[in-house]
Amino acid sequence: MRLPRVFVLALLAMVPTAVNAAEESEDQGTKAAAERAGESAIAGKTAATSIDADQLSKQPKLVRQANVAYPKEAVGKAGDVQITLAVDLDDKGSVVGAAVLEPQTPTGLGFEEAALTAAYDLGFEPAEVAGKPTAVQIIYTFKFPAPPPPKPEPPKVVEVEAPKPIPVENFAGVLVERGTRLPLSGILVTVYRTEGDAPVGFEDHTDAKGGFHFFDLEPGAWKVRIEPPSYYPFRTTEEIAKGERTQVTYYIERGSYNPFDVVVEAKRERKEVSRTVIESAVIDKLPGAMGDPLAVVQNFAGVARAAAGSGEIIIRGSAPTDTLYFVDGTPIPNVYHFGGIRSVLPTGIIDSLEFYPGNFSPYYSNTTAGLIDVDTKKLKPRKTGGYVDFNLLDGGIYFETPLGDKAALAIAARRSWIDYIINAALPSNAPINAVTLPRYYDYQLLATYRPAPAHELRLFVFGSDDAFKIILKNPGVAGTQVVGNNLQLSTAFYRVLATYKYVPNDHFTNTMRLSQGRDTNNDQFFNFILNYTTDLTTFRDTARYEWSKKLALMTGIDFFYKRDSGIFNIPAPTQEGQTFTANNLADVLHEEISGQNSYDPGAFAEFELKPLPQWLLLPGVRFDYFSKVSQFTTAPRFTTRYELTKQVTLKGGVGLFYQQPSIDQTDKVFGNPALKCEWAIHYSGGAEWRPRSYITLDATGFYKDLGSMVSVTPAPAGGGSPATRYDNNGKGRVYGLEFVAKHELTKKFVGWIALTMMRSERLDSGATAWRLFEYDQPLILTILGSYQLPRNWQIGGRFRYTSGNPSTPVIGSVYNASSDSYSPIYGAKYSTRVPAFAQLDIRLDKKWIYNKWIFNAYVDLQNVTDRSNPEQQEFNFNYQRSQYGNGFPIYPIIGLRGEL
Amino acid sequence: MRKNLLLASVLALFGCGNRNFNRPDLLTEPRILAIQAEPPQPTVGTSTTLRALVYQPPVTNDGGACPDPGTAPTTYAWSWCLLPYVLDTNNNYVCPINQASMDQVLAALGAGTATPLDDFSTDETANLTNPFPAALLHGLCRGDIGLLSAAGAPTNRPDSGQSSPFQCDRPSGENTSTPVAQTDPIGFQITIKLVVTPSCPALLPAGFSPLTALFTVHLPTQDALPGNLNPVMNGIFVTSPLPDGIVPSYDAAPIPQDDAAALDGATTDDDGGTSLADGAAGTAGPAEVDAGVPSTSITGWELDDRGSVPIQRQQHVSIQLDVPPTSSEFLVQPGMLDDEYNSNGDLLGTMRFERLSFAWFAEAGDFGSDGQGGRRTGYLPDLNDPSGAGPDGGVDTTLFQQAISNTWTLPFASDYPPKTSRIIVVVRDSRGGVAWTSGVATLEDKP
Repeated sequence: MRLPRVFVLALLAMVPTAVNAAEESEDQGTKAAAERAGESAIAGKTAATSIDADQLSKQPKLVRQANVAYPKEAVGKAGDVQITLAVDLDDKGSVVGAAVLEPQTPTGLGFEEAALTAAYDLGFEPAEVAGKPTAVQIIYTFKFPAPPPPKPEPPKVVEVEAPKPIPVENFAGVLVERGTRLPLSGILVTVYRTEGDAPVGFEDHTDAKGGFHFFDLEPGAWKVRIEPPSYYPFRTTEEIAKGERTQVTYYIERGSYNPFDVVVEAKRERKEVSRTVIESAVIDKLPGAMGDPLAVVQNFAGVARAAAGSGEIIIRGSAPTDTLYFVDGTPIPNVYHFGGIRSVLPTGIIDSLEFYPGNFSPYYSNTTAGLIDVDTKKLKPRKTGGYVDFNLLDGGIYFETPLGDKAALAIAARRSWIDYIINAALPSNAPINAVTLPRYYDYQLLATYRPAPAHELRLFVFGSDDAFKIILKNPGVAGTQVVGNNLQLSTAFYRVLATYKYVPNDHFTNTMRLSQGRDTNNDQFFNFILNYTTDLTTFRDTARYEWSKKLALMTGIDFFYKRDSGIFNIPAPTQEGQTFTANNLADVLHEEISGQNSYDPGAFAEFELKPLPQWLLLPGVRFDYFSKVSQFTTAPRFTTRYELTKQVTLKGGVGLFYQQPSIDQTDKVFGNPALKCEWAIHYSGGAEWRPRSYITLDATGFYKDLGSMVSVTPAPAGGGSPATRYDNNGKGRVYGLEFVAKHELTKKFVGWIALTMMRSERLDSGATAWRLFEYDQPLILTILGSYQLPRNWQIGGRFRYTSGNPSTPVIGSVYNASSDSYSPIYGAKYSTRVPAFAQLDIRLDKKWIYNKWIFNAYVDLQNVTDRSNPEQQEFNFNYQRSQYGNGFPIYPIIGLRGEL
Repeated sequence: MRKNLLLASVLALFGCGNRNFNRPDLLTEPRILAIQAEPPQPTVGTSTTLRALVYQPPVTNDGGACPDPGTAPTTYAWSWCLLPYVLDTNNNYVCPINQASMDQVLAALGAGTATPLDDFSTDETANLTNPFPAALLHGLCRGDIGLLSAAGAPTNRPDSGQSSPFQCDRPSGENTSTPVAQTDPIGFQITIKLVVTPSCPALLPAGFSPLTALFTVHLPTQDALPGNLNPVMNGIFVTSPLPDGIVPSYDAAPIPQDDAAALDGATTDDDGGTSLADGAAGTAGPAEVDAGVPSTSITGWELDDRGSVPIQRQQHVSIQLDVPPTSSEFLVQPGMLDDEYNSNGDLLGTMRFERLSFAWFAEAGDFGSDGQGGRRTGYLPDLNDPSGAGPDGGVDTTLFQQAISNTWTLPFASDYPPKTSRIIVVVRDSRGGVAWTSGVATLEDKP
């Protein structure tokens, strides 16, 4: 309970600070009574500071006795009686208060009253602390010896001070932030009015729960004023009625509901040569990404532009299938619904996204390209809340709640409604029977429990399900090469990820992760079948010990286990650089696997050395065994950073990275079981300049040497088929420069300019001349920014310009009279290029703040200029004519979100 | 894998590009539309006659006039190979086995002489003799390739010994996982190559003349199995709306000479059906147009080569092929592709009748409407057909009727000025059998 400040001051002036002490006298027991101080405070004398009696430099000394008489009404009813009192003395030694500690039994004979009255007649020399008089509380006992037989006496009149009235709370309330309903603590609340010519006012500060209290306000109108910084001023008038208690809740509107106002925990020290971290609050608002976390990555330096809607991440000239995706350090297979429509994790469940284009830590393995690691939410909700989100593609909910002080829970789910839209638009005479039109959903559950500061347990369950099935009414449309009229696509996965983090002190951290999951896939396209189930178990334990500021070690082990079963009845998949033609349909391969096991144990270590405060060295190594290819690998890696000045940092790195061939490449039917891992050596170096705390200019050069690449084995010189479909004789090289100018997250703005200039080439097995990589884009420019406007408006824009992908001209065709299809005859591979791509996207957000929720609407307008961007060269049926297939025209994505 | 499947499906289903950009059904330039082997599966020592259906548009077509119409003859060059043709470094399709090696192989096999590999005929038709006993081909499919190896022929295996270098037809129940030595092939594939130089190559883009086509002939590997037969097509009929009073009142007009397309290809039906005009430009007319001939078996009017049947522009016209159900032959030995699986990989059943695929071509107009018909129709036999029903009783008539029916809508005169439009339909069965038929419609302006 809090008292009004003025009132408290009055009490403090009236009641001395009570110090518990002991007093000795010939008839008083001496004992400390520290616990009584609490009683005093409860009696309305505010919280007191207790000190031990031994700390008194001078004990209070009795200088005046009090006369006390045996009560008349007790005469003949009681014998000798003792009444013990707690007596409050002020710093002058005067008695200012007394209370009965040990009453007489039975009560009601007048001994207590007599003792209390007499106590005020006592006189003392004051107690002292460090030579200064101080108020104390003492124990004093009055003795009442039994009197001789009573003689009639006139009654004694004793004047007793009237008890002080107990303050009455008659105006109280709670301050919460408008929209979010978060309590506002420490905010000054003032009530005031004019009484006569004199202003009268009282103040209180809100407590941790946003509560404020006023006592004994006179009835009538009182003005209330609340003016917290960063919030709109709040003023109102309350009518206080006599004998009634007024309870209110005030919703205080923040000046800006800027998503950039998020509290970002201390960022991890930069160690890598290239690492980009982006928080979910930023992801949610960037133009062009539709709030999709993984789509944002396409705006980073070193990432080539993928075909519209493909969702591919092409990192520094490596194939998109080489990019790995992690959630909390655990690999996941599918990150997109239907290959690119939408990523399977909503922004609500994630905290940040880390992007490593190269030279990454030995913590990660099995990729020669780059990776993306999604960190799930820290989950420390202060209230129960969430959001409901609707856009043209899907709708989703997110809910989070604290579970006591040590645990929290969040759940989320999302489902598309493309199927409903298509179904409504599908005419009755459509050439298909729709069994399941494209539909996807995903779900997440995140729970955290922190039983003690050193221990944290996390459980993350998430999954995704996509389905699509139609039956063609006209089975002949498929032609002679394929059989059937079913088109079905069904894919699903789930993961259960448990994490235990142990941080006993500042020097040691251990994180253990165990995950279990299953991927299922049931695809059928006519007579082509791709049906498999993969069970995955992963375990990872990582420890970090910091001996000093100059030396630390991060080390750990991990284990990946897979069990595959499936039926495959499909043509051989095309490889990077290969061109798919309709004739591939005739070459159907069949494979059945059941319970095929593979396991990949690994161990890693990385030292963090700081021989100088400004110089960081990170030597590390990773050991792996890949059972699928029966190969041990050792991958040393090294990065370093040197702070030339407070603003300029030099950086560099070199490392060896391995990657297993894909499952089809090592399959005995589809590929070559004798294949080994591909490898890459990453070299990178550059400089960072931070002229302001929020501005970073980064220039990084890189070179990747790719070896043992899986390549299509060329046909023998004399014709015929090669001995194997694939071999490890391919090579590659990628080199380039990345420039990034980034304005970090501030109150108003976030944005960056990323420019990448690079070249990626391959040397196929048996070839003598290097060719361009399939997605080689020499120039990639992205300019992106988002700005917070007043009244909760926000506007953002993104401009992209990239070179077109290489293209192979068609110089002729041949007709397959058996299948009624044409096969192209190609000219020199990748000797031409698709025209450049340029696109401007704009996003506009607006928030409406209501007392208990927030409504957010946005329009993400893609390709504002409606530019026709060629995606790839398309040919007519016999390849005699060609045109460029364009990407999406101008189109808006509209979304609505309600946040509770 | 997944991406390729999607791509494959898209390509198979829709091709690419917009409607006017990609119209395989629209005959606008010289094209090889089909190749037929009669009989489709010649036994050892017998020959098969190869013929091609080559379309060449009118020389005054809006697409571009031929600089010297009628003077350059259409040329043909037929070749064959024991293995699939491969592209050489000069972008020519070549047989991996040259003539000398082939002669060695034949001598070693004791197969006697055979038709030369390259350019064995330069006529419109060509005869190819099968020199290989079925048992020999059966052995080659099972990996017994020592003789070929001794003869210097390439014998490398693409899948580490899992398959033969030859293309063989696998029976139902087998798949590529079946060890090659345990296979029981039902056909051995040889490849025919036809190179055609059209009479007016200027109508083709640079690099696309001459026209090249490949065709697979399935040689028998088991003497006991009955050989495949080509489907039978007896004509194309307009079934709805019927041309009102066409017989007595049709004011026939001669086919304008300039509108007459050349269609090279011998007739494939042997029961008196419509003959395809074998006329180069300038030889087809002018001709007196007789009244159309109503079909005795189909309620409709047959489209003949002379444009006897008028069709109103911009009207959905129902057309139907005269194809006997027996064209979908009963399969004594179904092939691997006749097995149908569900998405879980479970075998749903085996189709016991041939699949038929109909490709519809026309010089003008659109096929299909209201979700029915289209550029391609097909007969996919019902898995539930009793396996022992035989060729006369097992065909699902409803499905079959859908496959041989279509709608045709001819364009406005402003979009297509010529007064006639040829329609061609090619049918292919699932074992290499081919047939085609053709007719000409006279286009009437909408009253």
